[in-house]
Amino acid sequence: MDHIELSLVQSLDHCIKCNICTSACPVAAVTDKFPGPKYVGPQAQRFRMDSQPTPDDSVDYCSGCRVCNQVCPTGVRIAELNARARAQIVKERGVPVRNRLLGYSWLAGAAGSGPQAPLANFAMQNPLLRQIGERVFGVARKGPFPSFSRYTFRSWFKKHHKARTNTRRQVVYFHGCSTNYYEPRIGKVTVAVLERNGFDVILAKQGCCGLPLLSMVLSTMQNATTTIT
Amino acid sequence: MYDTIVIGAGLSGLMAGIMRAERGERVLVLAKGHGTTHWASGCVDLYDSAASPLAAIEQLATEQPDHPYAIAGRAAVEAAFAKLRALCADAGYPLAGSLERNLLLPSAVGALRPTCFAPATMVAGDGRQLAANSGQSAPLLIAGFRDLRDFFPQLIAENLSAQGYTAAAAYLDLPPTSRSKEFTTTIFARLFEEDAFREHVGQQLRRLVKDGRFTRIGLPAILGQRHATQVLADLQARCGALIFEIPTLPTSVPGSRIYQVLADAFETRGGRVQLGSKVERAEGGHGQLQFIYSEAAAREQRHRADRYILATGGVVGGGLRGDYGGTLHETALGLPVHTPAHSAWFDPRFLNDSGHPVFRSGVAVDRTFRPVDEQGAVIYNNVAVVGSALANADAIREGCLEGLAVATGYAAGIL
Ligand code: SF4
Ligand code: SF4
Repeated sequence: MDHIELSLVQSLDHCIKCNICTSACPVAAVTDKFPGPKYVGPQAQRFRMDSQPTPDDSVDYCSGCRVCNQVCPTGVRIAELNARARAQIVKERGVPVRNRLLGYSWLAGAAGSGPQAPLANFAMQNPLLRQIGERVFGVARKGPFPSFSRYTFRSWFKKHHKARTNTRRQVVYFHGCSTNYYEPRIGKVTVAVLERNGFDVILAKQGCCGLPLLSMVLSTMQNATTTIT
Repeated sequence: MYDTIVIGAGLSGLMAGIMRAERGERVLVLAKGHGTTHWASGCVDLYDSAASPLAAIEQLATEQPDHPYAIAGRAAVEAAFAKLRALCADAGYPLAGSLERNLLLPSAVGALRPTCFAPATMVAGDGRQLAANSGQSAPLLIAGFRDLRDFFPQLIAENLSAQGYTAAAAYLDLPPTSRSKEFTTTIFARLFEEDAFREHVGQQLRRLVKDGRFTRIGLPAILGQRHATQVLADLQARCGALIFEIPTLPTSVPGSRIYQVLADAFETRGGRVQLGSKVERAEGGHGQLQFIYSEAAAREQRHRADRYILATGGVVGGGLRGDYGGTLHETALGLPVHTPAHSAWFDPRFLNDSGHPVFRSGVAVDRTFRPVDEQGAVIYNNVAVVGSALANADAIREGCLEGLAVATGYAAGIL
């Protein structure tokens, strides 16, 4: 165990059971299938032994948002404990198809956005298709999906006439998949604000940041993607 | 670059932050996480005194010139409380009470606890109001939910009755909800903001009031998060009795409300709160603190400001930490801690009346809250220390935890 690993495991002893994390967790707020960070984190961790099967499945509902870490007054590394526990579940049982689907959201984004967006959006909102999706892949029928954009942010940026700034102040903008495929307007206003303030905006070549993969516990694949990014 | 960085997001830190932001400064509050606000009752204690708490701290100031109240001064204490009350009132969550006389509010075990100001949602539980009630045909009811752990109406009612405040107890049925388990205080507070939930509870209370002719009902402090005042008024209207909240074990909903009121006030004044950022070390010299470093994902984050306010709390809040060798450390800036020798930390009697000497440990400061060393020399000119991190007070025994935080935070905020 290296010092990082050790600090994670030891941090569970700092837990004073105040439940502040549970009060702040967005997942515990909407479903009681998830008992909350305190239970699945520092408490369940005591029952996770190397040689034994994982004691509870509910930790899989953790989205990895890290809100619990932010608010915990004693510095328990809850989200990291959860991420490792989820990785353990995957190790024992393999990666569900659902996780592969949602984990590679950038592929879906690339496929769905563009002129074909209305068709893709129709498919994503079609109750029958969603029902099949739920049955076959385990993707909740009612879970909202963002709508694909008819154009990507990067394609807009290529055509966009840069404001003449005569400045040497440059900003490299990492816009992320969501801005590129679903909400290009966010990127457009960001560029407008930056240029208005005299910055020259540069778009670096970029791939998936790996967050969806992390959420879906595809961490080994994530390593590969992070390298691309 | 900020004008002021406040370390700690408790009462003292937020008060200080608000006051500096009101002066037009750019202010950042850096904190490890939510803190003691979310553990405490949500009441504001000034001083545990049967007579006037304000008079008691004036006397304290003459007897103990190093006490943080003495450093803040009476004027700052009064102004700080006025400010806090105004902030809460503006947010629609008024505090009730007086600097001249403590309220006596039932705790989660039915003891009456003195406090100076309480949210208006608790005030109908004041012992003096209850005394007027008891012995009459219209007694007091304490009610709760089985699904809420650590709140026992029977225990509270019996303890109150034993003290002469005749009370009955009842459990309410849980209204139908989409949830089936995990009823924490926060979840209840969210449910109470729903109309249908309140209607169901209101009907039950109405029936109890009709059958038992109760005029006052004590409920756990879970009656709404953002709209507690309206939730309480609505329930009172539905059942026809006065209702008061009784603080619960953590997570404290009233505590989180007051945090929210202050954090919102700070942010609307242009301040910024950054949680999850434990300050671990500082860099400075020649009487000036230059940089502080907070924990971040892969490396430290460096912060810089003209002025720093240390509001990290005492042992409970994490601002002070004792090691196994018997040394107390101030955790953020590494300031020296004013404390007795290890052998003199504790009195032999565990429940000693005057507390244990170690409880008065903390950072010693000069008259403008600047940290000083054992010789009394100022360490950093641009640092002020406030709240429970300060030496020379035993806040729990003196019953002044929140008052001290509010007063010193305010005082440092207007320096
Ligand atoms: S917030 Fe931290 S200390 Fe409190 S229960 Fe959660 S993990 Fe434990
Ligand atoms: S990281 Fe997981 S447990 Fe923590 S707040 Fe987010 S969803 Fe809840």
